[in-house]
Amino acid sequence: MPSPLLSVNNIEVVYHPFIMVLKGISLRVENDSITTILGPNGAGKTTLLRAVSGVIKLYRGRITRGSISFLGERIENKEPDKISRKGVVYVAEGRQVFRELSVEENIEAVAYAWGSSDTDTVYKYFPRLKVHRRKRVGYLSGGEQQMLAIGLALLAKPKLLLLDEPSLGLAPRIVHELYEAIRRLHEEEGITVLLAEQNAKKALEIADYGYILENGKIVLEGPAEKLREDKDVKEFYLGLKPETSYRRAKWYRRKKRWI
Amino acid sequence: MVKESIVMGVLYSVLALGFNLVYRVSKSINLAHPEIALVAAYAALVASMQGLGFFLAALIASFIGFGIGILLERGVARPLLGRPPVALIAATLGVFYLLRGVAIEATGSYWSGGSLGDFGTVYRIGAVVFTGSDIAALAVALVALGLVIGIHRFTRLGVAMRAVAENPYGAAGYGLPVRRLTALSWGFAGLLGALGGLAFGLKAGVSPGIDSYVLKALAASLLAGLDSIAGIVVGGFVLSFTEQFGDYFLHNYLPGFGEVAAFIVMLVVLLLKPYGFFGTERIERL
Ligand SMILES: Nc1ncnc2c1ncn2[C@@H]1O[C@H](COP(=O)(O)OP(=O)(O)OP(=O)(O)O)[C@@H](O)[C@H]1O
Ligand SMILES: [Mg+2]
Repeated sequence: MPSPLLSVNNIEVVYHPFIMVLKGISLRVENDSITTILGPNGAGKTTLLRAVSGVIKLYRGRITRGSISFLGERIENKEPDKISRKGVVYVAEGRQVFRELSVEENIEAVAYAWGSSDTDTVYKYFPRLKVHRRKRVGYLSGGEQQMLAIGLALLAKPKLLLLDEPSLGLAPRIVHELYEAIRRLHEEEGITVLLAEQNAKKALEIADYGYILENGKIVLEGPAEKLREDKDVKEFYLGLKPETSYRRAKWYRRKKRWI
Repeated sequence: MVKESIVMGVLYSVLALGFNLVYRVSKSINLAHPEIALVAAYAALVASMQGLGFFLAALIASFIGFGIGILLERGVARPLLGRPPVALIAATLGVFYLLRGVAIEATGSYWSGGSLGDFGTVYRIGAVVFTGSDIAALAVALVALGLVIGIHRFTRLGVAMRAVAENPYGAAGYGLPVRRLTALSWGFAGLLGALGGLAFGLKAGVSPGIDSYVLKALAASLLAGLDSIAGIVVGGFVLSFTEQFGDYFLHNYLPGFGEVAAFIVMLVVLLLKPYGFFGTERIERL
């Protein structure tokens, strides 16, 4: 088996002072794949991506056990700018743009870290941004802001792009557009993607492989097409049985796991 | 009086911008700022007394201010990251006394103060008369303001610093060196403190009370809004004109108004417009 692009080996992640959020997680992201992490609110998806990108440091969190390797190099608890230099770039949840700057200035700011500003690539995938390039980003729509966030990550020429809930709070049509762009980035630019989502349906559409994270642990993993067919996933994440109450579902799942 | 308002307005702007740069990245007030100005002004005084010449003295002061700024970020702000702002305010108050103590010890017989040189000539611009030291002070202050505002406005570095100030978490994900840029903001703040202190020294001589002007400049920061850069000059001028003209019209009824005007301004701003007149009205779109 070829070695994966990213491998996370049994990590524990703790926020200051003693809040343990990830309790022994392992996962692999194969080169040239789209891998997704699904899970409900508070499962630890964001924490996992923060740990991989090193941004966890800014939140006074650290990896207290296990290791993370990228291209065979250990990266756990490294500075985020060092990790991004190796090719791991993180688009955090909630439209991480600079609202008080214009679109162009957003690009300039990130270009400071990378020397060049390859605006063409940004506008190629997100042509709407070009129309608004002089506009203050705070005035853009939510969808446009999310597009800019992904565009900013492109300036870093990522090998591995970490996307945290890009669909959050956006209309289905915009989500569709975004996902189309992500798929194209993967296919045309050869970017490997690790995608955290609550929107399991959308994520499993484009992913090759998926992990399901609950309460800081991985409870299920498999190829995307298998997960799409999995009874539990169908029921609890794809919402195909809306009459089942969340509580009953949880109870049912717990029972199932313990038996 | 107009002249005094203009000169003081620019000087206050320089010093106030130092508070703002720190606030933007660390969301707290650097109470050591006045003592950075004091230490730098004394360094310039000692240097010029040793016959090093004005430019060298100014350079030394600048390096000291910039260096103290960086050290404060490293040694005080960074370890306190994620704590409530009060922690940083208290810690910088500690540094205030530390720096003052060091200044008293290190300057020895120079502590009583002195002049940074003779700029005797008188200049007339329209009806307003400037002394040579006013002009020297203005020049230093305008260079400091121009440099720091220019960098923020027109360079890639400056845009990156603005981005990091607004959203360090997002910036870190895209590979921006958040810690380095945060430290640089503190460094620029220290530089402004130093050059502001130097400018006061040029205008009125270096003295142990020079830091009290810097504290007053905090009123200009609040007027502008602590996170504003563009509003700072307006804040500085509103403060200086309030002081000068308030004192002129009120000194019969409220003797010493000029002395406390800054603090009254602070109080009023905090009560009526806590984000200042140019502070960000955050554009949120959820
Ligand atoms: N900075 C922090 N300090 C302490 N605890 C935190 C911090 N950030 C997150 N947590 C906790 O970690 C747990 C996991 O949060 P995380 O944001 O990783 O979940 P998530 O799966 O991304 O959820 P969501 O789908 O809502 O984004 C939560 O219980 C949360 O309260
Ligand atoms: Mg999350």
